[in-house]
Amino acid sequence: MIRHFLIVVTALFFLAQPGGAVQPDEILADPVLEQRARELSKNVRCVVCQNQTIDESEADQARDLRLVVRERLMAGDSDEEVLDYLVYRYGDWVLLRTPVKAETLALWLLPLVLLGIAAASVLFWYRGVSRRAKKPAQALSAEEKARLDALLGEDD
Amino acid sequence: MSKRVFFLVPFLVLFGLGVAFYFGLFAAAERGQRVIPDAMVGKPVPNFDLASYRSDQPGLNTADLKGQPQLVNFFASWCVPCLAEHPLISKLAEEEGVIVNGIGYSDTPENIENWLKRHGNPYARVGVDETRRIGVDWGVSGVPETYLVDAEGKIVFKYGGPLTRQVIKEEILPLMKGLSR
Repeated sequence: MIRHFLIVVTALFFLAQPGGAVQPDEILADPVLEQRARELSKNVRCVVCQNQTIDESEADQARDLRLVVRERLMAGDSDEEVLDYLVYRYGDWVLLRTPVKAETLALWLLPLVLLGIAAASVLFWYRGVSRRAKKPAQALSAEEKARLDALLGEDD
Repeated sequence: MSKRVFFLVPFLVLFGLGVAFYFGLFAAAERGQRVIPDAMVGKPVPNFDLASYRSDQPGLNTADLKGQPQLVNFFASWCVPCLAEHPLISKLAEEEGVIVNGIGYSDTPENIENWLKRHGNPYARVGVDETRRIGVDWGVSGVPETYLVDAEGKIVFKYGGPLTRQVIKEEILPLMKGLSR
């Protein structure tokens, strides 16, 4: 009995989803539009708390932007148009995922370039090591052999 | 020897990045500032039409902001930094002859009326943006914020946070002078 109860309770935990900061009075009647609003909100920065999305933040200004997102969706905007509307007013900064464009290319490509440099460095280093390893051992010169014999002979 | 130096390069680059990130992270925090978006600078004033705190007082709309350079100051009665900058704004309006308009942000008409009665009303026009919806169109992220609008109705400057004597003297007044010429 208790076991069944625990299974049900555990299952309920998996059903639970983070509710975000969306208030009941903000939710749109159309579930499809509401879902789009939630997805869009996850990429929009709260202009007050700055490292939270408007989906998570309970700040008044986050609520304002959630309402604007819904207002634009109700007006028939596409997802892109909704984000453009916010970017016009707050700049690219309002998006948590920086868009790829000429000014942000360095930001997006620099990690790849650094990774390439790192990979090339490792490759060069590795080839150096294996080349040295492949070199045949040189025979000892007569002088070295005499010294070695002398050292080994000391034990006798 | 030269090969050994080559191996130091990644560490030097990493160290340099670390230093840059450290200062980037903490420089703003030390000044006690957060990022203030200024995407609206260079763009025309948004379309809006706000009623004043009382029906016999002039409200503020887009058309009011054309014809001569003027300031738009977002404030609220609950906002302490707004109270701190209020004497400076009054001085700007009364002594420097600058037209300053106010937008009461996230506040009720009654509270704004009482606040202006108590602290003086330097504003040529006042609009009440109780829902903050017009604030979104201006790119407001908090109060106080002050916008300088030119005669064509274009936003040319924005300052987030309470105005200081220095900002007025070094930025706002020179810009105003340049615009009215």
